[in-house]
Amino acid sequence: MFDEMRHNAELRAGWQSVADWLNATDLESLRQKKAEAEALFRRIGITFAVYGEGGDPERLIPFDLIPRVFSAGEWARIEAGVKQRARALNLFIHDVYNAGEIFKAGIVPREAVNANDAYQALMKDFSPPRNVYTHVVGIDLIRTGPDELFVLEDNCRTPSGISYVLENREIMTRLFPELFAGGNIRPVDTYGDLLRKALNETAPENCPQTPNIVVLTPGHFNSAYYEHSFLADEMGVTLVQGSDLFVENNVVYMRTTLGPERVDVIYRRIDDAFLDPQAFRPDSMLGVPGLMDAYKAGTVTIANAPGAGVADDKAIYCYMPEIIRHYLGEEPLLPNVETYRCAIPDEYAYAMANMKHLVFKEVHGSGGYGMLIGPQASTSEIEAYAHRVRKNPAGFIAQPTLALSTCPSLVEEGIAPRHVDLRPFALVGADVRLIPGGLTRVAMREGSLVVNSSQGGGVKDTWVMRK
Amino acid sequence: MLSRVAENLFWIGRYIERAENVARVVDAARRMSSLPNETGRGLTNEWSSILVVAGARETFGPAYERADAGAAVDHLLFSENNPSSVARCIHAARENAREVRFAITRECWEILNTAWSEMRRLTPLDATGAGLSDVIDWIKAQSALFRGALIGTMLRDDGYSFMRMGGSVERFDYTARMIDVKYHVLLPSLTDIGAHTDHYQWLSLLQASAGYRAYVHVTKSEITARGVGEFLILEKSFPRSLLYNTRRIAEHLRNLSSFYGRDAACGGLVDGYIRELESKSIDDIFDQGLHEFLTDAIDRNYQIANALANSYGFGSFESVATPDGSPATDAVQ
Repeated sequence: MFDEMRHNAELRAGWQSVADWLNATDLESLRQKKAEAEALFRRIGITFAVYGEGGDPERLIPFDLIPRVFSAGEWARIEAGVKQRARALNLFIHDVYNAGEIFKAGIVPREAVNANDAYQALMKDFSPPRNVYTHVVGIDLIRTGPDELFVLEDNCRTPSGISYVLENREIMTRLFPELFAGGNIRPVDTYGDLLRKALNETAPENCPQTPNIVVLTPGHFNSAYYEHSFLADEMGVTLVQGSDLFVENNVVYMRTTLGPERVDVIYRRIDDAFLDPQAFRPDSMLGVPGLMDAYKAGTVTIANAPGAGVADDKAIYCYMPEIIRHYLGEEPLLPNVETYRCAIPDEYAYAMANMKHLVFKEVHGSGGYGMLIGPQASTSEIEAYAHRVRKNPAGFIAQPTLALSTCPSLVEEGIAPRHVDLRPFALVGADVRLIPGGLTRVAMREGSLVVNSSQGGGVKDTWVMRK
Repeated sequence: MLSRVAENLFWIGRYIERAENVARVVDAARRMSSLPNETGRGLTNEWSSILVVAGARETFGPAYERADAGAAVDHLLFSENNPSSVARCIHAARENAREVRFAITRECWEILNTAWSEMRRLTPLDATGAGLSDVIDWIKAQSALFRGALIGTMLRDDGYSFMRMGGSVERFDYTARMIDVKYHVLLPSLTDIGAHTDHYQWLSLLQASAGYRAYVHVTKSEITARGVGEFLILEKSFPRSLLYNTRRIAEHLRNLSSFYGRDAACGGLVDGYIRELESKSIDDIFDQGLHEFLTDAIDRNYQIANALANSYGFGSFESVATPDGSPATDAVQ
């Protein structure tokens, strides 16, 4: 088991200030600070909404005070690998909806894409500005050793969690100013500027003005509403709901106190299916009738593009190393986790024979739901899952159970190691840009490998050191 | 600014002001219920009158005429069934604010958010006996805190004006209803006019409007119906008077005109009403009939709010807010 702070009893590079701080601070004052942090989160309203479950409708995501540290060298590698992946993903999506060369070259089977619900036929033969489809990409990384970093998942639709990255830092600098005094921790607060820049760069070419950017939210009952309003504020743009927008002559406008105002870029945080009731789900109350017509007429940019999800399911994931080689002529800097595709007979046979050692996932699943963690499952759970896989092998993949790295975390028993992952966010415009940091999710229960917030996962501040 | 955002801001202003006003009328009833009573019989039920002022007669139900302190306070401060209860107002203000989270400053938001979470912890038991004054003070303090944060931290842009206008529209409405109810509902009988009871009721209303000292300061005379009426309707320096609040609406409309570089259609309506108020003396109003004057005032205020909404692209109100009706539609359902 690899602990990121201390490996083989040695403190790892970058962690000195955290170690000194923990040595000098007793458990009681850490717990006190934790309570203060939670009070701050509540007061600021950094909550996620859970309706219809009873209890508090607005919950806090568990925040762990002890930061996670990356040295400058470690980060350089992550940054390069994430940028590479973001480039390849965009080239791939463009190819899927246009020439389809990757299919012709026999690298990815066409069925792997066509079978995907996220494939949007109306994107065919259409190219958005700069051929950018996934303006914001979340690449989920896991680690098993000092140099062993793997991509677990790509998120090309509407990856969320960035507001926690910024707010965690805000809270940490407020509670522990002394930790940041040396100026050695790289700030993360440029995210809003970088996102606005990427959206400006991908605005429609003949945009008649400085692009008018809006953030489109399903509304304040959505669980991620805080993040939507936070991002609008960070960029200094308007947060809109579907009902604030309308389309006339293939141009999108928002209703303002001064009458209609043209909209050029929509950073949407609603799913494809709800974007436009005329093009997708007719019962959507969240979308804007006629939006897709305006989009295809080239008067408005939608970020991320409809149909970008073709690239991020687990069936395509398996091909990512070849996809990177094909479009970029480079070796992947961040490898995939070894994956067995149950759609392929040999791999299926191996997976089924080794269920109690493997993790099974649904190809289209997300959020940590519908998984089987073999080593932690009972015989009957494995049998039940095996039954599901046999009925539809193509719907599943299997991966070895990896010993995720741990970081020291403040829990009931004191400070103890807990498993973590990392989601850096790449912003794609004229260039690919990253803030130095990302969302560290932590499984707060002992031994748990599931970091998703829907499954009791927490978050940590993530430090990237200057040197 | 999005029209929806303007609407949310306008209603934040209204809801916070309404929460304070409800607290103030409850305070008035609390004072009245401890009044000396020279006739030896009970006063006209001040609690049922206060339910009428607060527009809560319908939601309280037919038993409102016999409402006692406990039931009325519960209904006015805490009830989920009363859309104008303080708890619902604070909730609605906070929900509206959450929808336009970043159209207001962090300070303004945090005050609403904290008030909301503290209100959720208060129970009717906290507002019994001597606790009632504490709860009333707490509610008034939240409103004052919010107003302070608004004045101290908000950009003087269109959003600020929409919130302030919401506050003025609401305050106008409440002052008008309060006088009307005092004059037409609360009074036991004509013979009581000018009696001690009458005097103390006006006094209570002034106190509930934070206007007693101000009244004495401005008029340097004793409390009379005309004096108080003049003060609450026409006094240009008293921030809860009808004239004062109409002037503030006009002022913010002018700010919006200069901010937007164009006049709103509703400006004429407001200026016209101000000229009308300024041309009247309190004797004119009493000759016309106070109740008739107030009914008209409430209606004019409603028309102004409606025209304002139409001028800036947010919906029209469905129902007129009348002293005995339910309040106008909510921005957040």
